Amino acid sequence: MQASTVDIRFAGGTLELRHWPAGELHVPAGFVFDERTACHRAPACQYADAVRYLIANRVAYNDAARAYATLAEGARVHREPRPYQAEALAAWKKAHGRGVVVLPTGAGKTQVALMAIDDRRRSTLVVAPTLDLVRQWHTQLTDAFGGPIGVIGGGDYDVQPITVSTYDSAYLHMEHLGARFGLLVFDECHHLPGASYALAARFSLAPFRLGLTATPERTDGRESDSASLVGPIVYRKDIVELSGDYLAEYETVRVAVDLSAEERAQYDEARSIYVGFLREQGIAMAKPDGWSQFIIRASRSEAGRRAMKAYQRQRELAFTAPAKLDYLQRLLFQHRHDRVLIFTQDNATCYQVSRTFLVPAITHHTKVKERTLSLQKFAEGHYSVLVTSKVLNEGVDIPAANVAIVLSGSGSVREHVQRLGRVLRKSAGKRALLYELVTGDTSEASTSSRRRDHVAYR
Amino acid sequence: MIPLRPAPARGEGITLLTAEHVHTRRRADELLVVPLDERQRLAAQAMAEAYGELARAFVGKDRQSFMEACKALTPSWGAKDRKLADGIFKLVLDRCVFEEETPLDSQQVRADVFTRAAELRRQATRPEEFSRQIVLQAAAEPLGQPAALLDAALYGDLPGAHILKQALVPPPDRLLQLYELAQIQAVLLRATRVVARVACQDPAQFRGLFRTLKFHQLLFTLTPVPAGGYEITLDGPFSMFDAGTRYGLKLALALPSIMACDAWSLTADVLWGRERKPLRFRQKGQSRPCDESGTTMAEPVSVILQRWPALQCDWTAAASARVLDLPGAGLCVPDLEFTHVNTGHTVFFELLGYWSRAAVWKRVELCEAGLPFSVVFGVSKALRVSEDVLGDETAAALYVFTKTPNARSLLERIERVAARHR
Repeated sequence: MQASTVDIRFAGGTLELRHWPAGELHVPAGFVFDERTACHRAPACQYADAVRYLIANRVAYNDAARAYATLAEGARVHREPRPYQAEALAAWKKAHGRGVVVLPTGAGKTQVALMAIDDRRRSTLVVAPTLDLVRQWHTQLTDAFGGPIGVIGGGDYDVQPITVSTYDSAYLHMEHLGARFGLLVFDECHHLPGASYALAARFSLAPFRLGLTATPERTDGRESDSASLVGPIVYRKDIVELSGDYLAEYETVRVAVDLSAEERAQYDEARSIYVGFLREQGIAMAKPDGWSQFIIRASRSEAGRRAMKAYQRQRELAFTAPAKLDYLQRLLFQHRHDRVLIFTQDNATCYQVSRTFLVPAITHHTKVKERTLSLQKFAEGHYSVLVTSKVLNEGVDIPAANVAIVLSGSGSVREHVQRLGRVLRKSAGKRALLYELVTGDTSEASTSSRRRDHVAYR
Repeated sequence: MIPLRPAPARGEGITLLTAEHVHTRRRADELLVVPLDERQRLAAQAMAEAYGELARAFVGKDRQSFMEACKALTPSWGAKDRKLADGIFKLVLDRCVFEEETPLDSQQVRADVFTRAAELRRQATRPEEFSRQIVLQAAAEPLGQPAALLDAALYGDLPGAHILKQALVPPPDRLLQLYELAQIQAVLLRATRVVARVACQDPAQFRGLFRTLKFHQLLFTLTPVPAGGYEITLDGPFSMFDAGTRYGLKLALALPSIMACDAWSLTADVLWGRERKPLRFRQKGQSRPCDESGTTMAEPVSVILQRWPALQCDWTAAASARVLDLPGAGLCVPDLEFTHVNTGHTVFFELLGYWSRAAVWKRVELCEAGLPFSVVFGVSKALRVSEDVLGDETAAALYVFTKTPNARSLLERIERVAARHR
């Protein structure tokens, strides 16, 4: 039995260990001596391992680090889980409350998280990528656990035993808040392995961690990093495994439209300036640093700036070809009794569609109150169309939507799968449709082929 | 009316430029901020004047027009000075206050127009039956406004439509100084660690610096430099596990406090460029020259110093430029130091002033943690602290005074503390 009392405390996303007894016993793994403060220090995420080590070695310690609470009450509403949701929770618990659950959009990942919070009953921070998702989580947590539920992000800073935050705010505030939560839920956790966001996980001492995603794979291959931040993938089901039974049946339709002769001439001219510059500079856009090379070199000369303008022009022609807007008008008439979501690649196109067809737009400029109102009116049927750029790509629950129209987008498989996922929430007799409008014989055609490289489109 | 939103950089020295605004050069593993030459300095003055004038001229107009006017102006500086122009422009833009100002409530207009549009679309039996003009006219009629006004108000609240209300742009000379500060700060944004050498005659400068470091939760190690002053290694708690740029912003924000020291130099380890190449950045300078007295010493302290010779004691008195540091426990910055003419033993004096009881308790904790210096802390009676809170086992004493500290009473405490040392 050790005689002295070791102090463990939380400091700026790290743990400080003081009064470690002299003797043969090593400090817990991950701790190193910090000359600056004359104590041992480790990243806060080492907390659970450190405490287990102290207990195993019967070291008397004063835990001044842990500032999270046990929730006095669990969920006040208990929904019967679907079989795969119960399996996912069981798998997570078996992994000691650390790990990632992969389920397709619309399969009810939120329900798995609500069950996990109810099971662990620790102060919980839910981290979501957008304000829309924060709003949605806030509603669902309030319904399940009662209030008050805290919010950090979008100008709010209200910390409660159960709190929802954006990734950005979690990164900014975790060095102060990292001791206050025993369970972290990372929604759309494929965002986490980025250099900055990963610190949100490292600065927290939460012993329990749950990651939720439909698409864990990242283009930079860093998905394996999430194992050290959240835990390994503990459960996985793909769209095709749940389609029909738990997700709506769906169909995808690709429509190619043509540029007019005049637009074609403009497109070809702009494209040739842009491609000519790439060739002259030896820039390969297929390489990971191709785009950044183009940006850097385009800013260095007049020819470069001309190439950038040409790039933007040819892209604009492909993405917002008038023929696309004509076809969109037909589709809006054809689906006037459905609930239609229109996706664009950029805000300018989003607002152009909104102004032209007088349909509500949701972008990052849209204030939370108006977003909430627009989504509510859409759900109730007062609005039958919503247009958005990227903010509704992920997670936002729009069960009423049954038609998605991708007017323009990136080559990202994840983005395309997520957009499809927006219309897959199952309801009686629902059959979902995803249209993809592509300007033929332009660079957009190959972008479209890249993003359809997923089992959901085969 | 929505209240004015403050400009991002209403105060001075707050705007942080980013890497793309900085004119740097690499020499081996060194990163250099290229100083402005005479031609560039004149160009920068002209830019500051032109953008500032444009900002003042556009007060009352929308953001998009202002941005377009500035964009049209930028090429006139030439491709060579583009980076300089972008930096100066950012400093100006950050000192502009924009506000949403539409004759109609855009959000309400949208809600009404989009609801009407949805109804008309649902009722249509042929595509041509839906017309945006019909919808806008129907929405405009109850308001007694023309449809064109509603059309303009539809997205009148987007940032591009916001109105420039105030242009708080300082004169060109001052803007140029801020630009030069922001250049160094932009480099420090990418810093993983900063080593600063600072020397101050005035303890208040040290106190200001350490207050800043504490406020930003930066950690530091302090090493006295033989030539005078200190070397301070700055980083954050997590730096020992990941040499990232997480604390770059805090290091950049600490720069003005470092630059306020009488003499300063810094060496920063930075991760520069897209490839985050580790480079070293050095900078040095001197703050404004001291006034004739050399320091801005608090009056009660200077009174003690003036009256000290009249005591004719064995202790010599001098202003102190020391920082007394106990790693892990804290530090204090004394105002005066008293040296015994025979033994050479030094006792420090810090005047804690009249307002912070918490500061007294921090010093008590510091002494109890084992601060290895003899110190007397001067505390006003108004703070209601007893001299007994510091026991004989510490090498420090509290001197509680009624109105102002008295030289003879201070001498008594100094000798008492020194006796404990013996």
